[in-house]
Amino acid sequence: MDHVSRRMIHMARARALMYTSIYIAISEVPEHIRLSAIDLLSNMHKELAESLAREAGRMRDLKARNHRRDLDPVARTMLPKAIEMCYSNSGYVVEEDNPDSLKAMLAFISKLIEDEAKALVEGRYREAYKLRKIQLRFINTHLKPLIEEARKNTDLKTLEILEDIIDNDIEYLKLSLVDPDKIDELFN
Amino acid sequence: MSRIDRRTFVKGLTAIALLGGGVAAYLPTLERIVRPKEEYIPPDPQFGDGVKYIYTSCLGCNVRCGIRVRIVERNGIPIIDRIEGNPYHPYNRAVSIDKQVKRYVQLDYTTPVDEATRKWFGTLCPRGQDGIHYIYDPYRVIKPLKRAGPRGSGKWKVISWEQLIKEVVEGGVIEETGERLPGLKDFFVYGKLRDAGFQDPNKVLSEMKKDVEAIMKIARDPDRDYNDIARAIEKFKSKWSSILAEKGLRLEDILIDPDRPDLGTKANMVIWVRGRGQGHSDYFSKRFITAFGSVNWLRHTSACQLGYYAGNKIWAGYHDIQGDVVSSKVIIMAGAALGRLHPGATGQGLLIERTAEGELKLYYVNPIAPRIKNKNIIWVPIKPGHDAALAMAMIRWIIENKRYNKEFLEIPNLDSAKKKGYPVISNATWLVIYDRNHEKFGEFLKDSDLGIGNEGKPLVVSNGEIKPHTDVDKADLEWEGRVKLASGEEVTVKTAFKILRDEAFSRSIGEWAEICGVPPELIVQMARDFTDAAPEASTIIHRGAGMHSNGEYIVWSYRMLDTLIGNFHRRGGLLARPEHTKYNNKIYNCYYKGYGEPVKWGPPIDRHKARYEDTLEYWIKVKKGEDPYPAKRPWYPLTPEESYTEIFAGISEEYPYRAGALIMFYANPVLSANHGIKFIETLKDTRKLPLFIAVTTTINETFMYADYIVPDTTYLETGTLGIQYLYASGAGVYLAEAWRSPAVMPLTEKIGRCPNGHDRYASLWEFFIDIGVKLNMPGFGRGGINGVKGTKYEGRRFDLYCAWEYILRVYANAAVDAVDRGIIPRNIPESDVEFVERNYPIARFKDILPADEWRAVCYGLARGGVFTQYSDSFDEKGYSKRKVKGYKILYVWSEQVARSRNSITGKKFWGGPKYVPPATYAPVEGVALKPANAEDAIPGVPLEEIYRDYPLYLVFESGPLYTKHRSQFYYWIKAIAPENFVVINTRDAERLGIETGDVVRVETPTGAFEAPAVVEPSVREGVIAVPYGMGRWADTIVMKPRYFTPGDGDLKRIIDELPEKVEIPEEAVNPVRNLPEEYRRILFTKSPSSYYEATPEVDKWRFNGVTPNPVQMADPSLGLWPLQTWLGAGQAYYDTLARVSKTGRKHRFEVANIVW
Repeated sequence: MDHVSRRMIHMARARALMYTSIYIAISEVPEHIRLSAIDLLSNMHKELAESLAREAGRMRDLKARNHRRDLDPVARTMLPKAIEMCYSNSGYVVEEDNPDSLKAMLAFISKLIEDEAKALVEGRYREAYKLRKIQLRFINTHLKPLIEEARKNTDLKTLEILEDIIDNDIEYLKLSLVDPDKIDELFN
Repeated sequence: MSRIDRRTFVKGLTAIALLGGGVAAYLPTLERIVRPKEEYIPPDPQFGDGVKYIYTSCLGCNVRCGIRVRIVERNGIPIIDRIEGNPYHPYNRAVSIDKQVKRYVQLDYTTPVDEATRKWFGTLCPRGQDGIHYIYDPYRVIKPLKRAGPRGSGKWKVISWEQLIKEVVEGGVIEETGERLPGLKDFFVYGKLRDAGFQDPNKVLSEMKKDVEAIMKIARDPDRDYNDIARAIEKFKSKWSSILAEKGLRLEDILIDPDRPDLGTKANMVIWVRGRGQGHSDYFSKRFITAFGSVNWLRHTSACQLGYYAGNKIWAGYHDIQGDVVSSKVIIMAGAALGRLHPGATGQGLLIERTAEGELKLYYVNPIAPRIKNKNIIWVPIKPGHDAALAMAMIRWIIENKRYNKEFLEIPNLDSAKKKGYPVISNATWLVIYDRNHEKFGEFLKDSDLGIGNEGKPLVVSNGEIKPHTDVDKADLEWEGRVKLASGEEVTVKTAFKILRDEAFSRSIGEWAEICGVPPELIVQMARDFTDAAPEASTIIHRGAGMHSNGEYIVWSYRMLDTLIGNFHRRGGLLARPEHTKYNNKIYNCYYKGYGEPVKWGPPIDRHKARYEDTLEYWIKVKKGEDPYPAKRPWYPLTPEESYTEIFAGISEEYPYRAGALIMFYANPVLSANHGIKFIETLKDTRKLPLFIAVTTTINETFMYADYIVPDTTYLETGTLGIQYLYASGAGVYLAEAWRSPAVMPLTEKIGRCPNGHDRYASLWEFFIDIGVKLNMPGFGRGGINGVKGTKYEGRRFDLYCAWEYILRVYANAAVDAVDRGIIPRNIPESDVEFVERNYPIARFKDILPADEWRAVCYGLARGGVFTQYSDSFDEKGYSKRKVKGYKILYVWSEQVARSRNSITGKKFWGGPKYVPPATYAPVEGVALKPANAEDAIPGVPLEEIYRDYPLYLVFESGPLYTKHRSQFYYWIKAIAPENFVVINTRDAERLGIETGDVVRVETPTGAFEAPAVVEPSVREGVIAVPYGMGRWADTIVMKPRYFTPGDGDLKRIIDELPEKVEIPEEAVNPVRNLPEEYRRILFTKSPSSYYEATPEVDKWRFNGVTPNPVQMADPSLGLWPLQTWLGAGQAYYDTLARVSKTGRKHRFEVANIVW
């Protein structure tokens, strides 16, 4: 296995943990699990962890149909179905009540990254590449716009930090798809 | 709030990755929230974690190819998911993705295992590849069973392993019927003597045996009369009754019949019969039966190739000899199926390659065409059973045109042969007394006959003088004359060659051609090509030639072609089996003798290798002035191996003695013998067969009558573990043996651990070991394996409490011997040890061997055996480096055969190769013998004379797809050849108004069956053929057969009484249910899930098709028991006469493309 692949496995595992932690932090899970997720995130960005701890309940209620004011009302009402179709077309079923919720989106992204990590470990590089493309497309089409628009409509501090994280994640994904040899430079 | 730049982002992720253990544990929960829409099944991994490769040996048929098995772990279960050939093996040879070649050769034995595994592949036939369906068979039994109703009722219940062993040893009761079953203890005479207080039971038995031999000496003495014999028997009885009584035993406890002490001890009443045997289940079972003290270790050879074996043994003293497929330039291949006979479908690929490239001309003598379009494979459409006429025609041409090797044939003794550089001689020059009315007719003229010596040396004529054959270097071939014996009588004598010549010249080539059905010009072409290529020409003979009632004479006649050109034991000529290592007794005695086994004597129940004229029965009759003939059943002194017909006829007629118990393994004589349904009457009879135990993977047509079922494993587990020698010609290599070790651990019930901590699974091995331990039999249990004398282990003993403690020592024997021979290096590469310890399940038992032996074993295991190369296998003169097997004399005339008598008629057999038509063993009541029959070599009545209303010959065809009948589970093969039929020649079909698809009725003298017809020119006129491998009716599940009807009313009733359904506990069967679902679906795509879930139900493919066997030929001169060959007692499969008619119904074939 070459050096680049090893780096990408490292990034995939870490990203999966990041998104999963954010998902756990805003979910209704046993408290000790939620706290361990928040604790983990504090190692990445202290303010993110603090705001998540405060704002988890409101973050949990965020849905694209309510916040995507960049779309016309008709399009907004069709978002839940459209996003569900997106999951399905990618080969997945998301067992969340509201497919257009932030929670559902975070769970989906976590799973995609987790599967990408598995594929990389097993040498299925084409599969991994495909999964990163789906991630990038989904983040650009649904996750980032939800966070951007919701930020305009709410005073949730978490969203501001999340937007930064996602921007960085998008840059990483682009680099990994277009010029993976340069991933090493991220660590220098 | 600080922004998150790229650096922070990456650092943060790194921190998360390092510390994320707690959250990582949540990921499986996420799998329930976001799951794949469809289950993703990744492509099979080829290497890496969870993937293992094992080199072992196939058992898709008996060829013993090498295989490489890939095992992948899924859901924690190791699963076999691919089987390919072993590139190290001479049959499978090597092909690489990197290197495309026209001719495959075997990989060099020293090739590193990693390279062999990653870069090289061996060829493998469809059966071998479909072995996956063999192990994953829903009909498999995995726990011990006991019948829960009358025999054959299909009712079974599970019992524990402990209960099985206890009842088999001590006796049991069938609770549902109240029947009492004997235990083996009742017959274990050695144990009885020991338990009664005889310190050395073998001392007692040895003395008893000597006394029996003394009685026989008296019996044979021409100066003694009946009263002398009677007195000797009474003296014997008195002596031994007294000795035994001191310990509380009676003679009846020890001997089968005190009035017939020559029959042996009661141990002989325990009979072992195996069907498919291989190393080391054969050696181990023989060890068991020998340790028990019984002479009855019996095999299925009569259903395999016994006519061929017996013919060879008579001719050359060794049973298995075939042409060299690597270098012969012309081969006469008679009665051998392309795609079946050794070297198997894989090795025979070499034959086809060579013919395609013009290196070899193959004359395919068979009523069925080879169906390969190649100008160098020439079909010779022989009339079944009349091959000797073809051989005689060729012999006539060869002699007429002086195309024989005169120098070789004129050599009369081995010393002279050595001088001339030949490894063997023929006895062509030996003189034979040829006065038909003289009592010595057929015997060699000896020095003692002329009073010129008393060593019994056969005589020859050299330079006009009659001399002992040892005294001259060259003798006359064609000599005939009158000589005066020392007794004053004058007799005619001829050389053996002259007798052969006279037989060949008794008809013209045209007349011979008329008999065998082969055009005379083709015969001449064959003879010319054969002798042009000599000595690099040879014959390959098999069942189709040998398994006729006259089969031995056919084989012998063909082998005269080889004798005439002097091709024995040389490159391009005839070769026997390759050498093998001393796997049985190099340092550990894993053999069946030499560990203190009981003394035994007496004839086997099937009377093979036993002479009627050596029995008390015979001599008592003779001395009483009675005609000793007929014996109750035939005796077969000339056959090298055993007879199915005579096993069951012997049990049924309690001749020569009663049976007590039958233990049968991996066999199915009811189905596989011609008219084998005759055996069912015997199997059902609890009086004649008080105990019947079957060791098997599924419950077949024979085993459904058993009292106990011992679950066994397949060859991919521990079934027939050990080392497989190769059959002739073994691809010509000097030494080769395939090693079989488990690819996966057994799927049968785990029964515990041995005292030394090794896991044990229900199987043949553990069954024998537990009985051996319970009965305290020598050679089992504590110190059961002794060290070999003269080795480092002399005087030491090793425990035998589990299969591993035996088989690891077998491998060690082989490996140590291979090291001594320089085939396995002394310094074993670490990579080989690592490869085996990483991949092979057997490696977990390596503690049984010392480290140095284990390392050597790893070298062999990693390559699937020990193999040498063809290029190193011949000396500079072109002779094989192997030891010459057999007599080293090729018999053109055999005194041994000429002296042997038909034990029904008392008539002597003909002592040389001869054309005789297929016939019964003896005259048939109500059928007059023609005058000619009374004189010549036909012992009974020609079948065509008795059954004139049956104008066709019914044969079967076995090819590369199915393995006789035990392969209806090969579902990947079934997908292309799902059913069978009757193949009828185009002209015959036209005459009968039959088209492909018509359902026809085939009637034989023993019954009838119905099958769809396929009309093709690929079977000769006058012959109909059934592609083999189908027509089952019992394979744990029972499905009553509706396609055949026995002619005999009793047999019809037996078939009608077959149960409609079986009752078998779910827990006892079907290891397939434990496989991951995707595997079950892939394996059985054509079947409903009821086939492979829970207790399996009838699945169509397991029971479809037909087999001709139930209505094949029986012998009306021998109580309508299945017809056999006269000398060898082989099943005469190909002599069934038949007639065909339309039923008016049509059949719709399952696939449009008919493949067989």
